[in-house]
Amino acid sequence: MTRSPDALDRARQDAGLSQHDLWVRYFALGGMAPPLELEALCQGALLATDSDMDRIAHALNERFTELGRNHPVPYSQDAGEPGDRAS
Amino acid sequence: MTPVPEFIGSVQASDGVALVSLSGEIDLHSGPLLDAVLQEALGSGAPSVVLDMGEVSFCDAGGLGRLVANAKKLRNAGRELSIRGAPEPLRKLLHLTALTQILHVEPAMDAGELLGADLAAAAALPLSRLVVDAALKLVVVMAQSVMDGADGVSITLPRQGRLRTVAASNDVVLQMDQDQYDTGQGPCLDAATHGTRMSSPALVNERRWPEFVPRARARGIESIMSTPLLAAAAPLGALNVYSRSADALAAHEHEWAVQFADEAAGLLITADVTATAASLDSAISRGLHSREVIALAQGIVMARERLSPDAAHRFLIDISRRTSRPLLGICESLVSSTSGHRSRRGAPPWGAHDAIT
Repeated sequence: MTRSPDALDRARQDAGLSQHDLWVRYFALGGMAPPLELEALCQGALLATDSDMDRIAHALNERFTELGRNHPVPYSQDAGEPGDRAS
Repeated sequence: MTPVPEFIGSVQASDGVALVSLSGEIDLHSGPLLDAVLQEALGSGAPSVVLDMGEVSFCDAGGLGRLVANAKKLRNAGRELSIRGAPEPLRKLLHLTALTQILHVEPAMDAGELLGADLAAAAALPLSRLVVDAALKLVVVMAQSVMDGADGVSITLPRQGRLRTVAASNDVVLQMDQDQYDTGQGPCLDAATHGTRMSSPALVNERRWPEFVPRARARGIESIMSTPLLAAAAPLGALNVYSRSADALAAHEHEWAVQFADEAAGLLITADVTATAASLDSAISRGLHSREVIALAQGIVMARERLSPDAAHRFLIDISRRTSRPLLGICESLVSSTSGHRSRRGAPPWGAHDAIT
């Protein structure tokens, strides 16, 4: 089973973040991609590097933590599916 | 003692060009002096009049109006008015008010002219809501003054959930817009809502807006053209031109209306971007601080654990993930403990590698 290409974007919506909110969080974690590129990465239109993938995943997971949920978004070195660990 | 006037203008005519050199401020006080010097240039009979505005430090809306009026006189006489050396803020103002369509503005001499103080001043031009509204008013005043067939011009925008007139060149057009809002019909509403140009060259034959048209005609209006303000094909509002006679607008004036509408839309888009940037400011400042702290922590981990930058970043994310503490918090602790406890080398603040597998 493979991840859907827009899994990150779905997670963003699930986390209740706008694309802009996510970019601000990603930027704060050291992300370098401009907002439009981040959108493309989340939609699966561009392939994220491992470190970018981890920044996006972590930005989302920090938000899920704030919402009292676990870390549902997998990181580059995880094999799991998004949502595996969602509360 | 008489104070030295701040505005100075002089005319030199040669080879069919009347060169008008202006310096100082063009405002209510100096406006008549500008008129006098332009009159002298017109009187020279030179086919081309060039205004050197390199030394003009300020030009108000009245000054712009005088320039437009004189440009029209010259154009009607088959002559041309050009502006040379306009400082960047003035150039920007001419562009914002679409006057570059009417006045020939010579390009900047070279890149150097654009650099330095002028550019800094232009970049700092604030576009708050008030400034945008003032600029839109200038657009409608200018649109009316350059379109011979226009007896009134207004701009309609959605504000607080409904359409309102944000700029009107006179009271009649303000009332005309209000009639449309009251009856819920009219060309301005259709243009602002659907994004298509609504032209009614003879209201006497108009059947589309049965409640609005009699009100318009009672106010002496016989033709209307509403041009949408568009952002990527989506309507932002409309620029409305009202005339007291039917078929009042010439074909080129239809095009000018589009130009003015485009300039107004450009102003709104820029202002939106500016407003977003202002609200972004604090988020970005926090983001920059966070990045700095994370980068410092990453450096510390790279040195201590002999890891690559990416691996160090992953290492920190891993701790954050396992402890459910925000990455920034982890990094702050690491940085402050490192700088505060130099003697405890070898004891990482995250504990004896307990978070790492």
